[in-house]
Amino acid sequence: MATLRDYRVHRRAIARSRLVIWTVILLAFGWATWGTGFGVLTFVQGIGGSFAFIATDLLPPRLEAAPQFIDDAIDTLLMSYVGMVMSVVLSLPLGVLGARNTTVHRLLSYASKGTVSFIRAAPDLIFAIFLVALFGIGPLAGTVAMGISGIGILGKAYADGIEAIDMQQVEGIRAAGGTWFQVLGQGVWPQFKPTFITWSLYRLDLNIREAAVLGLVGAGGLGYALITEIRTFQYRTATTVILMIFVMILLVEFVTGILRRRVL
Amino acid sequence: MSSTAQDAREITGTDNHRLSRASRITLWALAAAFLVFACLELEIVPARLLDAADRAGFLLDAIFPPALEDPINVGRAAIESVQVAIAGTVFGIVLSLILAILAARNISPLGPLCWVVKAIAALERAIPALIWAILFIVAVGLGPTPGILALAVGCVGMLVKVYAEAIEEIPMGPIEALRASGASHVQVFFQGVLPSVMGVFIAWSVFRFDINVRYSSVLGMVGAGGIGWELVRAAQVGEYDVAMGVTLVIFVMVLSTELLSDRLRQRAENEAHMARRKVMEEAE
Amino acid sequence: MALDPMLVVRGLSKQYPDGTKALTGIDLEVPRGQLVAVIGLSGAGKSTLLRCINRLVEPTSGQVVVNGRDVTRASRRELRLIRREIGMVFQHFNLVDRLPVVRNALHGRLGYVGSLRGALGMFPHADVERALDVLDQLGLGQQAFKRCADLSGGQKQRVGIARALMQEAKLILADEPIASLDPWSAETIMKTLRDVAVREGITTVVNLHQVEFAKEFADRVVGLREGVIYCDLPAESLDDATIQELYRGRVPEPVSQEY
Repeated sequence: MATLRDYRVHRRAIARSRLVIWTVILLAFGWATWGTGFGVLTFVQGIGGSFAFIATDLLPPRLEAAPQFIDDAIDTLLMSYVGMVMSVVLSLPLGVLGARNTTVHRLLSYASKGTVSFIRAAPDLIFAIFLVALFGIGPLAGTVAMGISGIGILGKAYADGIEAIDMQQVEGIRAAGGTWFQVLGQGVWPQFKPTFITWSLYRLDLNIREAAVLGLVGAGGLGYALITEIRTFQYRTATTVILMIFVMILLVEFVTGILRRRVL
Repeated sequence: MSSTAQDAREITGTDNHRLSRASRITLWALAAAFLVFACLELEIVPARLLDAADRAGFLLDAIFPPALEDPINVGRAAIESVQVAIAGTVFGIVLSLILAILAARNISPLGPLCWVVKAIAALERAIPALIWAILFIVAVGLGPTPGILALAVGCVGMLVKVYAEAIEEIPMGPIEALRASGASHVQVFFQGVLPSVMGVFIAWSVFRFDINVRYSSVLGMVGAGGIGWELVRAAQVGEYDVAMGVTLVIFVMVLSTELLSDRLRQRAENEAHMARRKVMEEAE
Repeated sequence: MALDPMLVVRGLSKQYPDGTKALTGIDLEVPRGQLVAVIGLSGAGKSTLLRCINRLVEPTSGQVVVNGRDVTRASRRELRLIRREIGMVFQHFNLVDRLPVVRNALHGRLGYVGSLRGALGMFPHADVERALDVLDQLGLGQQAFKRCADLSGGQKQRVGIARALMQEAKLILADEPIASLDPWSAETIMKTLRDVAVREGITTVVNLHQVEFAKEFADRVVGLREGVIYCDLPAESLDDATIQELYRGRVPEPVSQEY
């Protein structure tokens, strides 16, 4: 039977574990604010000042400027789409080889998972910087950057999705003498398909958002338009672009939502 | 255009949610056609890719071996990035917690107006942290301050959404049971509500911290402090070996903070299990 | 004084804001130490009746007196004091899943410890020792430091009973305590409730779906139909005709007969 002594040990273990966590968090926070000279006051002032700036300079949006960005919006959409397809094509083999239950060899699984987490660790802007050097300024560099950085998310999601499937159904096909590809197509794919579609479409949603950031390094689309407007102090036009990005995100989320329901 | 419209009619016309084989093939064909169209439109054509292949050799030559020109400076910038990420995440979490309580349907003091908070959060989610950073730089000047503000504000959209959902999904049964046993409001909150949402809160907060570390490494590109600036500077002057060196430092920074935050999260989540193991160990 | 009934319900009615009349003019007197089963179709008002007794649901009219104290007229503070003497056991156990078993049992003491101490989970050692003892008696000695989430349904319900016992409850209200359990766990839980009622002399009101269990374990059976008391008789004199009429042709699931 558990005794009071056990209870004390139990409580103390929890208390100690909490103490460690909170000490780490507080120390880290103290170190960070000390190092950056930031504090609660700066925070309140900064937020206050910024929202005053937003209210006076960013609002109201100059909506009549919207038509001139329609081409950019279409570019963003196309970039996101091509970027998504690229991520899907590159991530599928990495996912299949990375998943413990479908890989060809254990070492290959580690290698594949390692590659994916390496890519996940890098922000896509970093890829963009090198890709701009390779392809020059324009949508191509941005598209490829999205395609590569998507591997970080999709490669992991695919591998996790494949590892989560019910292997008994797969065993059946393997037992019937199916080749590796037949097992993949007939045993794994039907179960994996929902994960595949959900995550791939989710990546399209994310790409629309990321396109705005990639504009920074000259990758074209609405992001580039936004940064140009801000750099030339056309804040109210910039607000229009932000609203357009927002509308695009909602639209794409709406359409991918329908697609997901139809195809699943 | 007319074929798409017809297709749309077909799709909406079917009673069941699943598409017929024919319309599924059409859908895939449309997707493929759209891909080709998009590539042409964006001028992603074989000629340009071949062009790039020529340049690739030159670029690889320039990148390798990676170099660190000024390790102390880069190290300091990396540390500043981590600090910006920590401060931004902590402020973002606090801000999001307050807003989440206002946004959660079941406990919001605003009542039916709680959807306003949710709508603002959704709008905010559409603006990436880097865009916030640019706006904050205009408002408060260069340095880590706009970076921290950008990360703090940038995580509000996502965190308010997931925190509010977690609060809305607390099982009401245990709350009822505590009230039935004569517990006070404070007790119900600390013993019933908090333990139920804590796990979700911790998981998302840590997840957001990992994202913020990644963001903070590029915030410098727009002048919001940290290591990003070193990267952009090197790339702009064509020192790709230095740019690669900085990139590797960013990798180390991101992966090591991720490792640490994961340890912390596991510790927090397995608290009860660890405590139980401790009891069993001492009993032996 | 000991002959005073533990629970007196007079003219209790409840109408929900949407117009549903859940209870109409319920009169009920339960003497100390009795185990009463309340049976009836789902929607007959069993749950509402139980929740009106400790005012988890606010009655529209009527009076409830528990252990000589008027629940319906109690202030918030008084209500808290009354509630701590009424243990409640739920269909879905209603435990805080992420907390360890022993802490959930200790939640029964929340009404007795200071507000802040309770909030921080700092319970007196005497309470802890009793909780461990109660858990051991209910066969959960090995599980005391596990999370509730890791327990089986039957074990969870025993934690629920432990929580009620920790309250030193004079009255236990059990709302469909076995509806989510397999027949074997159901049997164990009903036996436990019965034992507790006999050993500690706790008055118990149990809502049940299964007539068989009511007949086997209760002293007295109260049948509710459409918010009024249809029958109220000793368990042994409950006959099939009454049951048929209570469920109006719809035969209740004879769970215990299947196995």
